[in-house]
Amino acid sequence: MFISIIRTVILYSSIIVAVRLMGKRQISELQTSELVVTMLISDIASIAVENTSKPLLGGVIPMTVLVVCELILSAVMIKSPFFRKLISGSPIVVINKGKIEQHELKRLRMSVDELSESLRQQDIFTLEDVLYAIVETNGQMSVMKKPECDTPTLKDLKINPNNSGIETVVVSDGKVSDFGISLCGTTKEKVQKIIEKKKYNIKDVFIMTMDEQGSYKIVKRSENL
Amino acid sequence: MTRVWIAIGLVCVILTLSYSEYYLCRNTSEELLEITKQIEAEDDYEQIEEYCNQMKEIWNSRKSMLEAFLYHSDADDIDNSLEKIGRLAEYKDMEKIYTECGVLQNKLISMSEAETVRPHNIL
Repeated sequence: MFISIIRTVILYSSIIVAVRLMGKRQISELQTSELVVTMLISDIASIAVENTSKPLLGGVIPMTVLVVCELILSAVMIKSPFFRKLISGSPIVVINKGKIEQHELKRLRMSVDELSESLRQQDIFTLEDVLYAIVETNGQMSVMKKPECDTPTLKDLKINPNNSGIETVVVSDGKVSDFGISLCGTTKEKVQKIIEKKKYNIKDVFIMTMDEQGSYKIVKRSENL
Repeated sequence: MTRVWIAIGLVCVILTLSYSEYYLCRNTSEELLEITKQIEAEDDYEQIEEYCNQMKEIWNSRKSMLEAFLYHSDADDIDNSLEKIGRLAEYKDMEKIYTECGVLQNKLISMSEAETVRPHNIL
C-alpha cells in the first residue's frame, strides 16, 4: 500500500507540473489538442496508479512525451496560421448579419435548439436580437447583439465615470501582498503607516484593499478566529 | 520561447532514458544469453554452477536499474529462473536445466527485443 501511496504522490506531482507547463486554461476553454492531451494524461496516470507492477517510468515517460508534443505544437501554431487552422480549425459564423447560416449549422452538427441554448447562456432569449454569432475554435459562442438591442454603455450615455483604478488586496490574513502593492502602485511602508495610524497591528488585519488613488478599506480579523 | 526550451530539455531526458533502457536491456540479455548457451553445451555440473553464479552476478548488479524499465513481474520471473537453474545444477538434473535455460532464453529474448524499433513492436 505504501508503494501505491508514493506512486500516486509522484504521479500527482508530475501531472501538476505537466498542467502548469501547458499553461493556464479552463476545461471549457481547451483547444482540441489540449483536450486530447488532458484526457490521455488522466488515462495514463490512472493506469500507472492502479498497476503497481508496471514501472513508474512507463507512466511518466508517455505523459512527458504528450506534454512535449503539446508544447511544440502550440509553439508551431503560434508561428504558423496554416498549422493553427489545421489543428484547431477556424471560427464559424452561424448567424451572419442577423441571418442564420443553416449550412454552417449543419456542418457543425448543431441543432437550432442547441443554438438557442448557447444564446440563452449569453442572456439572449430572442434570435432576432443577434447580429452575429460565431462558434469559436474552443467550441464557445461569441455573440454580437444588434445595436438597438444592446445594453448602452456609459460612453453611449455620455456619463464620465470616476476612474479610481483597480482595487487590489494589499494585506491578506495578516500578510502584505507584494503583488497587490505593485498593482495599485503603493509601497509597503505606506500600507504599514495607514495600519499604524488606525492603531492596528498588521497581524490583526484580515483583509485590506486599496485602489490606485489611495482609497482603502480594512476588515479586522474576528477575535475568535 | 522558455517553454520550447523546456520541451527540448524534456526531449533530451526522454531520449537519454529510452536509449539507456535499450542499451541496458540489450546488453544484459545478450550477456546472459551467451552464458545460457555455454550452460547448454556443458556437461560438468560444477562448471554449470559457476556459470549460474556469473549470470546471477550480472543480473543482480543491473537489476535495480532494469526494474525501473521492466515490468516487475518480468524481472521476478528472470530472478526465479536463475535461482531454479542454480538449484537444478546442485541436483544434477540436466534435462530440467535444458528446459529452464529455454524458458530463461525466451524471457531474455523478449526483454531484448521489446524496445527494438520494429513495426510489430510498434503495432
